[in-house]
Amino acid sequence: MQLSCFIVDDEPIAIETLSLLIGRFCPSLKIIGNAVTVKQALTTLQQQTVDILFLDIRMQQETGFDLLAQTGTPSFHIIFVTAHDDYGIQAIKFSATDYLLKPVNAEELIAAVHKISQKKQSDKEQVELLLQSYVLQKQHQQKRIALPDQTEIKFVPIDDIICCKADNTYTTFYLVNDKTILVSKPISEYESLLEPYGFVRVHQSWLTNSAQVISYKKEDGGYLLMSNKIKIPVSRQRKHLLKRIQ
Amino acid sequence: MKILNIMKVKKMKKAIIYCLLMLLPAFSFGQLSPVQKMVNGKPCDTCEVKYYIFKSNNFPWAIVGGGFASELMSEANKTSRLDKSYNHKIIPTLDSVFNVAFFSKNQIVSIKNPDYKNIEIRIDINNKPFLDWKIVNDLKPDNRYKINNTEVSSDNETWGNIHQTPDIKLGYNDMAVITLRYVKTKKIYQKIPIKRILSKPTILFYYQTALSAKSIKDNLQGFLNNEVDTPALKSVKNNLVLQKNKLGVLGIEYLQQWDKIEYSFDQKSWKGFKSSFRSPFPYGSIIIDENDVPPGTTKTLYIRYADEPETTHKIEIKGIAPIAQTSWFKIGASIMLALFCFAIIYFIIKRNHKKQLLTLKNKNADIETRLSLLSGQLNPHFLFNSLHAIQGTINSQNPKLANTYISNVASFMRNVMDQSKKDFISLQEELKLEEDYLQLEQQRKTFSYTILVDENLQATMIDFPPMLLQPVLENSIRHAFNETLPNPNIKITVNKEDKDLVVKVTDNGLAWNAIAIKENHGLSLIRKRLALYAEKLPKDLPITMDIAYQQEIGTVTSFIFKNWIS
Repeated sequence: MQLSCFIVDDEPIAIETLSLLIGRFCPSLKIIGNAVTVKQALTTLQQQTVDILFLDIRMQQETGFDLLAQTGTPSFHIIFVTAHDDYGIQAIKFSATDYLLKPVNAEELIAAVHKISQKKQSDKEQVELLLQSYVLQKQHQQKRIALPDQTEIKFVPIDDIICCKADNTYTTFYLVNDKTILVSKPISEYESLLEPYGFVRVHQSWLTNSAQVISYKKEDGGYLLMSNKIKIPVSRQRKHLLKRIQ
Repeated sequence: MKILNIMKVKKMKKAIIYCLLMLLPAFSFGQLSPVQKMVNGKPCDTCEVKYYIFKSNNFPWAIVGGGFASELMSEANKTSRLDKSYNHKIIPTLDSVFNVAFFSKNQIVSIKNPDYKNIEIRIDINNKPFLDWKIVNDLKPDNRYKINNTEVSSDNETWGNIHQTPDIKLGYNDMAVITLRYVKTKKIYQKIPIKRILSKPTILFYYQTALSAKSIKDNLQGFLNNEVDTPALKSVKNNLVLQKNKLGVLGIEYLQQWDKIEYSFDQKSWKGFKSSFRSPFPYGSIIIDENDVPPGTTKTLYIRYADEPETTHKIEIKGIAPIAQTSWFKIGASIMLALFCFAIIYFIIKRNHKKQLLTLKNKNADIETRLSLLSGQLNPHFLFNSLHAIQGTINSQNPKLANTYISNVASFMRNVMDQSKKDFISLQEELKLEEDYLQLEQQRKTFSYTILVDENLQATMIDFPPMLLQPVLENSIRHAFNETLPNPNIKITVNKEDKDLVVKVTDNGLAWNAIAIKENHGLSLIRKRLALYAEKLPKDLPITMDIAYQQEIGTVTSFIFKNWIS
């Protein structure tokens, strides 16, 4: 099935590069246009139906978030294309929105487009969370996080996460209602995301929510007893991190 | 005109003392004033006229319309005791206008009545003639005054005739000299120098008492029992203190009845001293409290003779808080205590400060090291060499290789940036990073590498300092390998030895150790980082680095992580 796509980036050379890559590696995509400003993009998006929007985060004085804030509930899927932007990337990760890093790797581009074409869920809730996160992340006020499992994206209150366990490139989230969510992303990604919210990586395999810690036991090399009775080992190399847990 | 001598003795002790001291000259009070002013031809009962009556050894005389200040009086007393004749003493006066009256008769002290017909008078003011020689007997009584014959005791004494000089006007420090001589012989009979002096009301006493209801009884009792002439603080100087919660009583020790003293704190509104002969302070006193002088401030109290601005006397009153009221011992003890507390606080703060400083220093060093990790370790060579290599792939018309290479460089750079922020990454992540690095270097230099990990190790579970091995690898590639070396190879082995994690990097090239230590900071960076880890980690988890060159084998760099695996 042919999908239409639209590229928004303030640098024409970046648009050209991405167009070349799409033309070469993604035959299922048809580029219907591009824009270098938010205003320009809005005009096109109001007139035409677009399936995928490739969106840069930082554009001169504006951001890709400004565009999303003005489109209302988008009918398209979004793939951010960005070089490096702390708060932007954090918000994107919080909402589990797809993104590509510049310089764009062809394999990652193909994977992202494939994922989008398989997607059944609407982007609505994700975009809401994304915009919220972008504003709240700076003050560490974010309340929810999007966790994509095999079938769908789940929106979970951060306070409900008890701990996360690393399993190679997968991460298992243990929640207060005894449910677990398996996410196909490495734990290190969530470590940096959740650290400002009181999460501590006490072990190479474990990320723990300090608010859910009941006590620290010294036996068996030292472990944390969590509210759901799970015992989380504290590695000896990371004992100094215990002071972050009140 | 008949004059009755009056020696009205006051009931006040003070007055008695003064009067006794003042035997010569005598000083009189009267219930009916001996000297009255005439107003519209009638003696005025309410008008006050200042006067003195002197009884020298030779004759009685008086100054009418002039006054002494009490302190000058006491000076005069001293003088009178030392010198009975007054011949050479200056009599001080406070008033600008007065006249001198000579009496013909005095029976209180038996002295000969002079024959005023045979005595001439002359007055000079500031050595300039004011009244030329004139027979005293020819001086007429001044009809502006009435001299009363007032009764004293049972004797009805009279003073006989009165002879008054014209008004003498004096400014401050002006001096009038009255000379009396015999008409015939021209021999000097008496000289009376009178000088007008600026007098300030300084004969005061000061007393402090607590105000609280509990103590007011005791205080009042003490106050009332106190001899009037022995107040707490006599001869008040220019400085007083008012302690917190106390009242200050400032009183006048002695004052002529016609003199009024007024006071002010601002020199604008003046108030008179309250006086009552029934009070312990008959000449007047004022009460000073915290409203006048709040604790911690110093106020100036101005005191002067009523409406005579020149006579203003200044007293500084310092309001003090209780701490300063205490004895020197208490003050000393307080200081010691304060010093002691200060010392303790100082040491605590210093210790904390030192701790904080150390933490900050470590943090700083940490950041510095992380920065070096980004900017120094991955030095510009790496970036520019990478760009150079990319240029090469593009120019060789191999866009696919160029794309891959760019992606690899980008992802490596990003991983370094992300992971070097952390204290630890997993051993697996570290090995992946180092392998990415080796692969990038392989684009430019020909060498092979092998990475061997002990099967018993779970590389995803073991903590490892990010990018720790990279400077070692870089040294091998740069310094150990050259064009002539056949089959350059780098070998990374990770083993578990007992509880220790042992990581060895071996190159089969030239000895680089000595050169490297001198030349680049890659190794010193590793040492710095190891020192930081040593501070963070428990004592039983030391990390050591050892570099050794062995013939035939090459350079072996070993990292031993003691007790790393439990």
